[in-house]
Amino acid sequence: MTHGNGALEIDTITKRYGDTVALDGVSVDVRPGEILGFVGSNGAGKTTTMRIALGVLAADSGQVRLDGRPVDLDVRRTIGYMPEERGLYPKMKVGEQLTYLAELHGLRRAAARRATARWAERLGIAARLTDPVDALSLGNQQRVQLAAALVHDPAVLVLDEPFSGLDPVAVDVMSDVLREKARAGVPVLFSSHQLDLVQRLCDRVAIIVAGRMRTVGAVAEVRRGAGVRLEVHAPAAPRGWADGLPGVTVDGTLDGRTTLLLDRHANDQDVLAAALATGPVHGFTLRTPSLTDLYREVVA
Amino acid sequence: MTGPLPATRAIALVARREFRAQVVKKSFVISNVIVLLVIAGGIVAFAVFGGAGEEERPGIGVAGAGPLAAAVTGAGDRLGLPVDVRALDSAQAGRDAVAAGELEVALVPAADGAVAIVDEEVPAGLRAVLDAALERQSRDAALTGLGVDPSTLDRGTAPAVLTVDALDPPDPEAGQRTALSLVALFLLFGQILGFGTYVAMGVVEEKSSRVVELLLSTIRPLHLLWGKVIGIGTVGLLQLVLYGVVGLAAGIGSGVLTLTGTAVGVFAGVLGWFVLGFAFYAVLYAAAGSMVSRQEDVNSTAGPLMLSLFVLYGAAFYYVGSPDATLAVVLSWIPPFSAILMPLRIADGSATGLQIAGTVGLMLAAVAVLAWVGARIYERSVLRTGTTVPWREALGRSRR
Repeated sequence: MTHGNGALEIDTITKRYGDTVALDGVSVDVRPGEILGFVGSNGAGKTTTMRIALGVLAADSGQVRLDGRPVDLDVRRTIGYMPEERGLYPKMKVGEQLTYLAELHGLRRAAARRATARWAERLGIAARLTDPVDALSLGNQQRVQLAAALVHDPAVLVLDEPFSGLDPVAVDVMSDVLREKARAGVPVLFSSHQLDLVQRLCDRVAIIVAGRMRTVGAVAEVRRGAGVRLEVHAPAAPRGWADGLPGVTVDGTLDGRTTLLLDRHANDQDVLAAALATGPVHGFTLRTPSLTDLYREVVA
Repeated sequence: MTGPLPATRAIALVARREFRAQVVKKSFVISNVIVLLVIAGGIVAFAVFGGAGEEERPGIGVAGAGPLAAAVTGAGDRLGLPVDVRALDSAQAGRDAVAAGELEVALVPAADGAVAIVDEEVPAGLRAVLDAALERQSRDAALTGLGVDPSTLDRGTAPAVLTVDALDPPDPEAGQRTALSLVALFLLFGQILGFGTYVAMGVVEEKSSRVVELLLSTIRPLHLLWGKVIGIGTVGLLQLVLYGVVGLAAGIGSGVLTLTGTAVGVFAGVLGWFVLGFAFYAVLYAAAGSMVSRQEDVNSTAGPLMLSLFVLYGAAFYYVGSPDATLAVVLSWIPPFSAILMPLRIADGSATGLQIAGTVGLMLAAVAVLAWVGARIYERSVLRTGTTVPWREALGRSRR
């Protein structure tokens, strides 16, 4: 499936290390203007996927395309990349370093300087441009790292754990930048363990488990697809009152509160009627699982 | 917005960064200032205290007035061992002066000649001078007694002149040529070893700080490698030029160096061969650096390179000792030995233009082959972190 519409397509990528299969036919595409959250346990294959997308690592099979075109060095140069292992020259001054990286991505000198000043201002490190990187706090080094991914005005963003190690203010700045880039039509792919952030920020989410893509879809859709959780507070209800209701599974009962899992065939009004038949009902709460619940279920 | 990045611009950008990173290092600037001061100061000091000063004459004290003092001076001049003769007030003053080390010998006239007061024994050459002086003194006394003026006899018996016709006369410039060779040798060895190590350390720094992953997402490994080699090599070359210019200026200015043409030729040879020798080793040093992930592991892979440089160094000393040996001449053709031996042969004037051209050609071919091998190792190893990459894997067919 070739789009040719500005999307970043990761198409059936497989990577083996000896007998270990690190990635097994992983496919995902990030559409222009979309933020895609990439979620999975440590070692599931997020970083390997991203490194292959950047050409830092070679896949055994499969292809990565941008706008329908296989990603070669010239295409890669238009990607903004934040590697999982943060990397900058420790003794080089922040400003010189950002300008250098911008130039390596094809900007002319003057344009590189302007972009450095602009992003340093935006990310709150303008006062530190003449300091060597290793004189900065870890949080500020992280901001420099993000500036390094953005300074050449990339057409795609691939960020590996961009939020790890950031203070709350920096998290907000980072979130704003990602939203802004997406609004400008840039496909944004980022991985994170902070699922609440992913839920809040992303249009779609991709969950990878042990080298295989388990779920890819809109966050709301994925959450709905996993079913609904219903908590009923009916103190007089006898044990087993909800058994036999179609599409309903009893998850547990505690102090007259029963937690039920409803699939697509269940009707919550039938459940309410059954509960009322047992006596008074003090509570009846529908809960869509958070991404965190969902993730635990998928990964388990 | 991003634009195209031709290979030349990518290499130039990396080279410029490497150059700047090297020359702004405080330690680099300070050590260069010190070395330049030592070069200039050493040469000027040599001119002032060493070469220009005369050898110190042995001091001989003579007690009592009389012709003995003049006889000793004359004997010293005739025997080619000029002495510094001083008059002594008394024999005791002579003893004190010898004991204090101010005089080699104190001569006290005696009835049958003279007594020589010395610390331990009469220095070998001085014995002949003293004997000749006493003999001359008694001969003069006898001649005067016979009514003959000793100076008349001297004029009548002036010795005939002995002219020396040497088949292989010593080259008065040999000393300077040898000195130039040794300086060239030290400079080449130091620069190649030092800047090769800088290349290896630079590669490891990029690996250990992980910045290499960011760099390789936008430029090719070979561009990064060559940019680094060119940038650091340029610093090494400029440093060499600086050392050479300061050394030549101080040497010629102070009069220590009189072979201006030869010195400039040797200097040019050293610069050219540094470029070749550095290219030969730098790519290997980069490969060695790419195989490890931590600075402290560099020696494990760069050690063999250093060892081979020491072998070169030994070969160069062998050549300086016996420049006509067949082995030395053969070695001077073989890369990388040529890199350090050819400047020496240029210095002593034994290299023909044909040999220079031939050895440069061979060296260039060797550099091309090594660049290919080194780049291959570098490409395979530079993104691998953790344990040191074994040579077998670095050279093997596995993909990254």
